[in-house]
Amino acid sequence: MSSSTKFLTLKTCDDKKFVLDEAIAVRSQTIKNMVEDDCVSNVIPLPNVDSKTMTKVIEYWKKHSEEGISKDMLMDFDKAFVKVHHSILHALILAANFLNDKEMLDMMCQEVVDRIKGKTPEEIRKEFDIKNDFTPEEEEEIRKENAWAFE
Amino acid sequence: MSLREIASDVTKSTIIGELPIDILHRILENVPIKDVVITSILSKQWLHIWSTLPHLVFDHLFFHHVGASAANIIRKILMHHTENIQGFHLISKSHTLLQSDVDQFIMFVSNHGVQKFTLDMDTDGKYVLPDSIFTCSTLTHLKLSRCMFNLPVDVQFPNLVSLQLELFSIDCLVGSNNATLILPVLETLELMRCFNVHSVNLVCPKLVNLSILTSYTVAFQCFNNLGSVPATDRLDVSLNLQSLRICDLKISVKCFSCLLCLLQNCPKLVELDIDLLEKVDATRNHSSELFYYLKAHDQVISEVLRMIRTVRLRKFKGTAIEMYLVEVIIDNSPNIKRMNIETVQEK
Repeated sequence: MSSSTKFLTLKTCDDKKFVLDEAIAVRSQTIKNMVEDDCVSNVIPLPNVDSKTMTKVIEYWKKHSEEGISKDMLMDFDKAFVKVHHSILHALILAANFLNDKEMLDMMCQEVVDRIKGKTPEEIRKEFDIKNDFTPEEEEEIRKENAWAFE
Repeated sequence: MSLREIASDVTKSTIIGELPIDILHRILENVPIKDVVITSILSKQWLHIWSTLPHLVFDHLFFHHVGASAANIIRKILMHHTENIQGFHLISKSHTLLQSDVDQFIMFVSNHGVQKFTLDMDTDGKYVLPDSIFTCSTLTHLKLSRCMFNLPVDVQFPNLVSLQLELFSIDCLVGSNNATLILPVLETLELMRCFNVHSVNLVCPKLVNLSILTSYTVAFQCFNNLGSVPATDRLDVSLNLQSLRICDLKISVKCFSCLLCLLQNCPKLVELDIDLLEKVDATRNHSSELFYYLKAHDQVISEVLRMIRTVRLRKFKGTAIEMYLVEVIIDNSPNIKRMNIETVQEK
């Protein structure tokens, strides 16, 4: 066992600093690579992630690093964690992608999948605030092209 | 790209449709193809995303939904596609496609860079893969069910990493009774209830994972046949195998001698996973015969188990011969770290 816990300081794009146990922060492959390549000075800049999103990411990392937590408890946590507005989902996907945390990225992407699956185009547009910029004629044309999918 | 440059790339967008294209692909690949097509109508931004998807999966849900027009729709989707098709998967055990249609699809995806191909349809075992599959050099993963190869003489899949065959038959051309299939970079081979595999020499020097899920012991004679491969084609004398799984291994001298022979060719094996199947007519005679066989071959046994770290025995019934087997394994595996024994679940 290591004698002391090492801490890393992460700085988000809005200049907020987060001090985090290195053992937790290396859930991010990106940070892990930086640590291993010894290119960590004092502060690791995360120019792609804002503090609001990073707070959520750290909440997820800490929960998933808790010792002795049961699978059921983690599942409940994950379920609640992904139930957020699509703009936050969007930010978390970009963050997980940048930080290269495959497990988290898969979970967030799966949530988007679940919000698309089995829905009508109207329902999907509403779910993600997508503005329909087709004219009725254009829309009709696309529907006809792949009629089987819209039946 | 430096972190600063990445930062300048970040837009303030919060729109799902504006995620990087590789993430959108990652998402849509897990959405049923029907719902993927539906996304084309969401907005102009979404119009073409579906026709760039690297992996196309036509599953039971799709075939069930479109019925008899399946082949026409698949053809249309392929024609519509604007990028390479890395993965093409036809998966529905309860639906059929015509040989001519599947041939056409294979031809099309072969010309569009296909790497992973799955054919798992209700073909009644009559579907014969076209020869063009052997010349498709982009293929890395192949999963085939209920169909067959007519093996041309001395063919190879130059880039195939994983080959999974279920209820599969390999037929050799008339006149050549010892065909050779060369798989120079194959790492994973899974044979499930296959026929005629013993008539082919599978040359796979890079093999790491081998699963034989079948009760036909003949299936692994093909690996023992290494000696009969012409010397020039023999890429490596021993197999690189690290993990071996065998289902329904009969407790008999014949099967165990086959297994020992296979293990002797696998000096790097560290993981062994065996389902034990006692023959219905397993009499005391059978057991004592095997008992003496194991005793007589203890030298070979200790040699083949030298590197083993993990052993898993399934369908364990606790008979005397099985207990003896456990003893033999423990005695002869100096590096063993873990041994799992799973008993039969009585229903």
